[in-house]
Amino acid sequence: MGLERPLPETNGLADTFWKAAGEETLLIQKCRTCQHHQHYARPLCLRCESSDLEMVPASGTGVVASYTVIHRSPYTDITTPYVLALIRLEEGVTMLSHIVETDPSSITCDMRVAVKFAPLRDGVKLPVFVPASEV
Amino acid sequence: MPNKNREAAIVGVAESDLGAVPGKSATDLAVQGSLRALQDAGLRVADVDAVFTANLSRFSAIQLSEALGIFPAYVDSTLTGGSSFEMHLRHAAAAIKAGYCEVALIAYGSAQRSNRSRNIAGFLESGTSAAQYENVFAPLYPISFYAMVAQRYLHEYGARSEDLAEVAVAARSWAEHNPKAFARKPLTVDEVMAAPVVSSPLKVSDCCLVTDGGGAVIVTSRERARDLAKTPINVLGHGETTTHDAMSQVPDLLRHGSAESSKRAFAMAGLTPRDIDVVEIYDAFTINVLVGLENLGFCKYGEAADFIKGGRLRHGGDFPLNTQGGGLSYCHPGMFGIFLLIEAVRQLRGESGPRQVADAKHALCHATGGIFSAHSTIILGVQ
Ligand SMILES: [Zn+2]
Repeated sequence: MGLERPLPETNGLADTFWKAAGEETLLIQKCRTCQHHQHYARPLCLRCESSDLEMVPASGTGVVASYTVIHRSPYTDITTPYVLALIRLEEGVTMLSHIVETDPSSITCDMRVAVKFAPLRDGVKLPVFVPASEV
Repeated sequence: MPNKNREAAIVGVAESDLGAVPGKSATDLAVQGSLRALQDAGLRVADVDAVFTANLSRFSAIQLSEALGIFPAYVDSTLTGGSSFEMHLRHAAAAIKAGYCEVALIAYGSAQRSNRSRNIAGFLESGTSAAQYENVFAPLYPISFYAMVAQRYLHEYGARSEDLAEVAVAARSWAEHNPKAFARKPLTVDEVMAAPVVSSPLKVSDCCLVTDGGGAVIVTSRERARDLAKTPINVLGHGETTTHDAMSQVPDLLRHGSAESSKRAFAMAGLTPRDIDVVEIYDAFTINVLVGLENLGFCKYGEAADFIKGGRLRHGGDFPLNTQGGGLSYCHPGMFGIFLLIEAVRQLRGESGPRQVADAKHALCHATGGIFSAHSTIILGVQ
């Protein structure tokens, strides 16, 4: 199709997340009232509805909730096979990402992973994950 | 006895032309389905005073009303993907009960196959949480999400890809008996297993078809339904919910909003899963049927792979499911929900010919939209 992957839209609260990612920090949101963590950032705490929230660095480690090895790429700037995964961080939040630098056949659900940052283009860096033992 | 006269009944159903239908727009197909469904009901366009449709264009209900020359008294374009039409039926039932309308047309059309408008990355919409946090990771939409549900399912319950394949094989066994089905050549588990992987563990044959097509359903009050052409099919129970839009926001990969929507529908109908004779579950992918059977209460969580063993879902089996061949083998123009209703009504009327389930009194239709995002359950019954 001749298309590159879309860069993330960084309007609103997403701007803080992607700016920090560009500096290799993974931010998630924490409620100052009830200590609940959430991803992505919103104007309210989904647990207690407090609006007193802050962005905090995440542990960067977690487990693979699930994953899929993709064999058809819709974009010119990503080659198959690549691994899309839902990562559940230690703080309890889930994010969509990639698992990289590992043989797809060695990946399993519940495997421990850790974040690293992969430059994309235009200064955007993606928080991606590798098996935890390899960090 | 409560007065049931204002409760809803389905009095007409029809498909438009299905499969590869070049030269017709989405609205053309919705109009064709609408006229056929009205004929099925013994009604005219002039009888319709409520219009429900979605995804024909940006102003879908306005467009369809214009095309048919209707100035409706009640309009609803709820768009929740494939579950839209089950939601339309629920909303139509509420509006009829409230006295806001008398005869509701629910219609759908799509020319996605002929227009080649399907993209494996999906429709990337600006201003969504996916656009901010997820699309950059290049998921295939929606298949990669269903693939991750399937992967988790296999991991957590020790099921096998062959269990998914059985769903595709069962769908094909029904399609073999449906002249309107797009894919009718017999299919084996081995053939499904040998198909290329798209997004693991899902293979090409775990995925629904890409076709053109449309259809329509006519709904009115039970009181009005008594005077019409066909046996009225009563809407006994309904429920709906949504749980997430972006992939990362799913509350649980295996326990879905379908549990909630079906609980509401069963409670309203005063029925249990044991009372259902025909089950129609939106099978966008094979995994949908396994998690659907569990969340809808037909078996316990983790037991669907065992539940379907022995060919129970296949034509002639003792658990008739997706009796027209499903989205996997019959047709899939993009939002399959309306076809669940059409087939369930035909089964309850006894019109399904070689696919007819004997003595079918109650049918359940469960439709999913997005990535298990939206859920709507409908329970239908014949007197
Ligand atoms: Zn809170």
